[in-house]
Amino acid sequence: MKRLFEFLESRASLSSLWRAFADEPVSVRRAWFFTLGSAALVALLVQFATGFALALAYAPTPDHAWESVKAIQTRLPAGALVRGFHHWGASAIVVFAVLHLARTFLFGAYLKPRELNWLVGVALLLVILAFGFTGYLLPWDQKAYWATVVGTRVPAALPVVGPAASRVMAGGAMVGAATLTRFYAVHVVLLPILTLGLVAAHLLLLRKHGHAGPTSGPDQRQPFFPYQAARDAAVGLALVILLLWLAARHPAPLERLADPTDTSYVPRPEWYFLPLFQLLKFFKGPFEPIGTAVLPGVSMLLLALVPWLDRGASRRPRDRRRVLAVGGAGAILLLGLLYFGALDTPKGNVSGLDPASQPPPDARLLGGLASYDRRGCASCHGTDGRPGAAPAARTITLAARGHALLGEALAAHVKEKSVKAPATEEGGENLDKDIPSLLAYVEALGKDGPRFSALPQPIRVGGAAIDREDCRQCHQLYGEGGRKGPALQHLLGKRDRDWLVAHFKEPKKLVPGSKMPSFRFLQDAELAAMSDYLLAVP
Amino acid sequence: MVTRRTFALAAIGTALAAASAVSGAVLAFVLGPLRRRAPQEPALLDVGPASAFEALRAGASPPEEVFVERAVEDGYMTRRVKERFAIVRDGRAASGLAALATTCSHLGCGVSWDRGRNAFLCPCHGGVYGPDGAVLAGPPPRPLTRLPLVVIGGRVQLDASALDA
Repeated sequence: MKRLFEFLESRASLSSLWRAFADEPVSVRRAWFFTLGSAALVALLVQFATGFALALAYAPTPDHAWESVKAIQTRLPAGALVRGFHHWGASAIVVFAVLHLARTFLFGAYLKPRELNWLVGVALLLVILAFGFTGYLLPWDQKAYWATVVGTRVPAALPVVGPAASRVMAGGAMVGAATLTRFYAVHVVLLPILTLGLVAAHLLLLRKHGHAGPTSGPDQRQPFFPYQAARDAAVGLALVILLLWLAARHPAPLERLADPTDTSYVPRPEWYFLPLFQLLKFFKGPFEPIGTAVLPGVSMLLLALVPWLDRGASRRPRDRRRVLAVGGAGAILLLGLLYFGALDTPKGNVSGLDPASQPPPDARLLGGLASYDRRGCASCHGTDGRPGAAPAARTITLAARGHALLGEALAAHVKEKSVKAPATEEGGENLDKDIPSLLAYVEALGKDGPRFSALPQPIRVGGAAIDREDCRQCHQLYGEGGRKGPALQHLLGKRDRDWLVAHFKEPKKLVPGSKMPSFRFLQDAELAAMSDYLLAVP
Repeated sequence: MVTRRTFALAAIGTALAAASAVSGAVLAFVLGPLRRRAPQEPALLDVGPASAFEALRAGASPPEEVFVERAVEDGYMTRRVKERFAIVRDGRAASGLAALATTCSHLGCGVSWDRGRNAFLCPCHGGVYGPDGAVLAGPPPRPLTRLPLVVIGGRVQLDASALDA
């Protein structure tokens, strides 16, 4: 071990580097305030790690982006956790970067000779916001789409260069496939490289000029390691635990697939863009560029120039009252815009994962559910297989029944006890062909039962119809069924409901040479529900 | 005789030339979307039979939403997208009708007709447009984009060429 260290020292002076890093004197007073920057760095590292993981399963095309994110969120191992980390980590970086900036401003740590490092910090803040803006298009859900429509048109109001800038951002006249690849490339290639460079410059400049220390009075110092390192580590660990808790308890939202024609959707951006969003409401007609460009641009410029606007020699807050008052006013304005922007955000939008976007249960189970209702099983066993309104003596939980009766006996019980099929049932059809589905449903009731009653109506009706019409004779559904026709999966993005309904009615018209029989004898509502079900299948 | 200075200048010049060749190609690629391509298909899109809009033409019913599918150039592919238009009454047009794009002229959110207020409302920043697409309130700088409708053979056709401009 000792020889290894000697080798590393002689070839790469590693331990000297470590000493230089660890022995840096750091001020003791208000030491906890100085952990804010390293907390932002910890969040950044979380983003790098989880971002890499997400990129493994993400497909940046309008046909697959939403579906791949949904797979990450619902099916891939630890996917929801990784995405949760990435989602909340983005907010954490913004929070800690802004707090770190506010601390630096308050303590006057940007004054000579640290002006350049302040500039690097402001550049990092812009890079972080660019990360946020490009990142939330990627899931290609409603929020992603509409926030990007607004975001890419913000520069369009600028004179002369505006329309061109907007076009280059979106990769065309409208937000679409080209926008998605552009944002993806910027998010995973350009911005990470910029970030690495800027963070390196930020840390090197910090070490070059040393820790700024207290604004006045005696300056007692300790080596960075282990004292400040321990504080940084404690805050970093607390942040990671907080992110873990958020990721586990509050999954990252995924709204419905982006739909440019949806009239009911009320677009709102991510919270850290709400102040800008709110600002855009105040400037009308020809004054629009004031809200979209002049005010945000001027305030960023003022922020960047702070070290040159505050020319005083003293770092003490009481000697910098004017600067602090202007900064405080700016902060209050920003928080006010954030507050009113948040007030104006409709509650319905900020849902978690859309229930309809969960993979629907197997069609067989939904067929079983329909059969359960039709055969009147609920009169003895209650809805969802739990004791219901029926007389208590006759109520037997289905779970208990399922254990006592198996196979043939259970089928016989169903035939004997069922409500007799109405006479209108078509002749010739085997009236009991739904029994296998019913038995599968009863078996699944134990663990999945309650979820079924919360399913949207079209999913229940459509799934039951697909089971009843026995689509599986020719098609694979959830990896089970015949192979005469194409597998019923990944339809979303390729087909829409109108196409599917038209295809059910006249398959040959839409797919020449198709061998699929027509289902025009089914009602339109049922065909639409079947389409909804198929579109929901991952 | 080559001095150190001329050699250094030549070296820097060569490096700059090489770098600008590469970055020029990259820049041209990045700025590619600025080039506009001519639309691939005829700009007239079918909206529906003229008889369906009789009441609207007579002023007896409010603007009507229609969905029209058209092909758009989108980066590496041509996509068919459904676009939403509002068909409104237009006394000056020969067809008596016009189509309004439902894209807010402010920042591109989708406006929709509100029966109660007799206006098109934008859900983003509070833009309000009248039944003819004129701005009534809020930040929109321009009226809704108006597209001509013509009736050919009893079918209402939308001239979408203005959308690609």
